[in-house]
Amino acid sequence: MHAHQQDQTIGGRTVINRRNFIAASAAAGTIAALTTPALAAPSAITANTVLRQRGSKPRIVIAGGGWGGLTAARYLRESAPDAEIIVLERNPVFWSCPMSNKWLVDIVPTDFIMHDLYKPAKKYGYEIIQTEVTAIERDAKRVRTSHGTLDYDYLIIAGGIRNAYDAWFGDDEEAISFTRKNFPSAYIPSAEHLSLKQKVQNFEGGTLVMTLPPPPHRCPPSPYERACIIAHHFKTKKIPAKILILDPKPRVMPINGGFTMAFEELYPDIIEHVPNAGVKELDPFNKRISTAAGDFDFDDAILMPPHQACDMVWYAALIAHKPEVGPGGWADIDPLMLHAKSDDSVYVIGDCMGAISPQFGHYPKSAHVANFMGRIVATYIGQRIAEKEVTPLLPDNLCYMMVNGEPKEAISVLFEYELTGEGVVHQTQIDIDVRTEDQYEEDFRWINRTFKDFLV
Amino acid sequence: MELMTRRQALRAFVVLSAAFVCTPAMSRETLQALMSDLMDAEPAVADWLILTAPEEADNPSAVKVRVQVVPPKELGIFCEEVLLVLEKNPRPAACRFTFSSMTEPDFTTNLRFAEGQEVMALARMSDGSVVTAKAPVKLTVGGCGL
Amino acid sequence: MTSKPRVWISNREPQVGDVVTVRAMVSHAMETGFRKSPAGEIIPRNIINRFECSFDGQTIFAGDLDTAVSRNPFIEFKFKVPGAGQLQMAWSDDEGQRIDAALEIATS
Repeated sequence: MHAHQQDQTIGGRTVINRRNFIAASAAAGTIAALTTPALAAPSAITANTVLRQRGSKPRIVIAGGGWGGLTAARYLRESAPDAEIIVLERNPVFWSCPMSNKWLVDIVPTDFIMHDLYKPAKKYGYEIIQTEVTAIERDAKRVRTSHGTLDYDYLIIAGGIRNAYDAWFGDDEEAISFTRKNFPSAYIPSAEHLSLKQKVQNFEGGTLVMTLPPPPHRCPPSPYERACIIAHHFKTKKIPAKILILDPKPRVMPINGGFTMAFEELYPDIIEHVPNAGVKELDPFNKRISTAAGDFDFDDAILMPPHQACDMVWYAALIAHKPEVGPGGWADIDPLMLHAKSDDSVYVIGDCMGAISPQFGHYPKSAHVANFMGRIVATYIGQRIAEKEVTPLLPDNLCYMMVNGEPKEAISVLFEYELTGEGVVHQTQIDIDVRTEDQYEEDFRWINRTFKDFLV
Repeated sequence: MELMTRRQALRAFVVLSAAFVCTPAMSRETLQALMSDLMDAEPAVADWLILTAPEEADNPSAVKVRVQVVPPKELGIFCEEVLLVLEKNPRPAACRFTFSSMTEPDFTTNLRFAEGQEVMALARMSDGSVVTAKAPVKLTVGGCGL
Repeated sequence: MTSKPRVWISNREPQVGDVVTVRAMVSHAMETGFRKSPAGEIIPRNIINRFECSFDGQTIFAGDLDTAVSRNPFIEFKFKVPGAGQLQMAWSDDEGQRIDAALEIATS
C-alpha cells in the first residue's frame, strides 16, 4: 500500500497527485465514468521518456521552427502527404529578425514581427512541440529534448546560429553573461531585441559602438542597415550621438556603394565606419574594446560576437572543423543535396549551413534563403519517400535594406545561382545601390508574401 | 589619318549614333572601333582626367568606376566624350558617354571585370586632343559568404 | 529580364543653377553572348546598348554600352538645373526593347 501523497507544487503549478484526484473524483461520484485516469501527473523526464511514440508512417523531425523549419514543415505536408511531421521549437512564439531593425525604432509594430506558431501548424497539418533539443544521436536516429526522445526517419536541422562569445571570452562565464545582459547582440529571436529597443530609444547621447561579426554571419548587410536606422532615429530626435561601426572587414560589404552613399549623404555626422577593426580584446565592465585598428572606449554598445552554426549541429557532430572553404563552425553538408555529407538522413538548412562553393563560400545567411531551402528540402524528402529520383535545385536570394527614414528608402541585393559544367555552384551578385522608395515598399511586399507562405 | 579627318569621322559617328538605337547591328563594333581610333591618337596621360575605381573589388560583376574630367581653365577646352576600356575583357571597349553644356563631365558606372586589370579612360576633348588615365583593380573573393 | 528603373535625385526641388546628382539603375540581364546554356549552346547576346537622358526633350547626357557594363546597369551623373522641367531617361537593348523613366523637377 502506498502512503498517501500530497499534491505537489512544481514550478509554481500545483500538480495534482493522481491518487488524490481519483480519490476526490470517487468522492464526487465521477469515478464511474473513468476507466483509466484521464489526467496523468507529469513525472520527472528520464532518459527513457518518449516525447511521441512512433507510428508506422515515415517520420520527419524538424529541429527549429524558424524561417527554414516552418517552411519545410508546410511544404512537406504537400510533398510527403503520408509522413508524420514534427517541428521542435524552443520559443513560444515566432519572432522575425527580418524587419526587427525597423521595429527597434517603431517603424513597424510588435504584432508585425511576432506571430503565433500554432496557427500555421494547425492550418498546414503538422505537429509543433515547444521544447529544447538537448542531444542528437544519429546512429540511433533519435533526438533528445527537454521533454523526452523522438525517433526520426529524416531529421532537418534548422536552428539558425549561436553566438560564439567563447571567441571573445573563452570560458569566462561572468564576462559572457555581463555582455549578454548589458550589450545584447539581438541576432537570435529572444528577449535581446526588447532590450536593444529600449537601449536605442533611451540613448541620450555619446558614442554607441557596434562591433560587427566577421563573415560568414547571419544577414551580412543587416548591421549596416541597423546603423542607418538607428542613425535616422538619432537624427530625427536630435540626439547628440555617434555610431562607431567597428568592422572586421576591409570595407563596407556587401552593397558597398549603396551603404557608403547612405552613410556619407544621410548620416555624415553620426556614422563613422572603421574597417579592419576585428575585436582583439573586450572589457565589457570598463567599456573598452581593443581592435586591430586601435582601442576604443564607449558609452554604450551593441556587441555582436562571431556567429556559428546553432548548438544542434554541434550535438549532431556535423560541424566542419577544418573545411576546404571558409572557417570552421558550420555544418558540413552536400552542397546540392543539402544533407550532411556523412549522413543522408540528416538535412541542414538555413543559416547553420556550411560552405557550398569554392567560388563564393556560404549562401547568404538570410531568411529568403532559409525559406527557399525549406521548400527545396521538402521536395527532396518527398521525392525520397516516394522513391523518385532527386534532382538538384538551387535557391536565389533577394534582400532589401532600409537606409533612409525620410523619405523611407531602401537598397537591395540580388543573388543568382547556377551549376557550372563541373558541378560547382556559381554565384552572381547584383547590388542595387540606388536607394528608392519603391524598394522600401517591395520589402514589405516580399515579407508579407513570405509570411503568407509559411505563417498565417 | 589626319587630325581633321579623324575628328570629322568621329563627329559623323556622333550624329549617326542616334540612329543606332534602331540599327543595333551597327553599334556592336562601333564602340570597339572608337577605342582603336582614340588610341591611335596617342593619348597623353592627364592628371586632370580623374579615374576612380576600388583598388580591391570583391564583386567582379559590378565594380564602380567614376570619371571626372577637370581640365585647367587656361586650356580653354571641355570634354566631349569619354570611353572606358577594360583591355583584358573579351570586348575591351566598355562604354562611351557624351556630355552637353548642362552636364558635368563627372559620371559613375558599374563595370564587370573578366579578371583583375587596369581600367582605362580615354577622353576626347573639344580641341580634338585625347587624354588618358588608368586605375588598377585587383579582384578579391568576398561578398556575402566566406 | 527587365523591370522598373530605380531613379534617385539628390534634390527634388533644386534652385535654378544648382547642380544635382542623378542615379539610375534598370534591371536587365545584359546577356553578353559569351555564356553557354547547360546544354552547351551559346545564349544569344542581348544587352542594353544605349542610354539617353534628356531634359524637356533635349539630350543632355547619353551613353553607348557594351558587354563590359554590369548587369542591371548603373549610371550616376550630374547636371545643372536650368529651370523646372521633366528629366527623361531611356534605355534600349539589342532586341529593340525600350525602358523609359521620367522625373518631374520643380524648382524652389
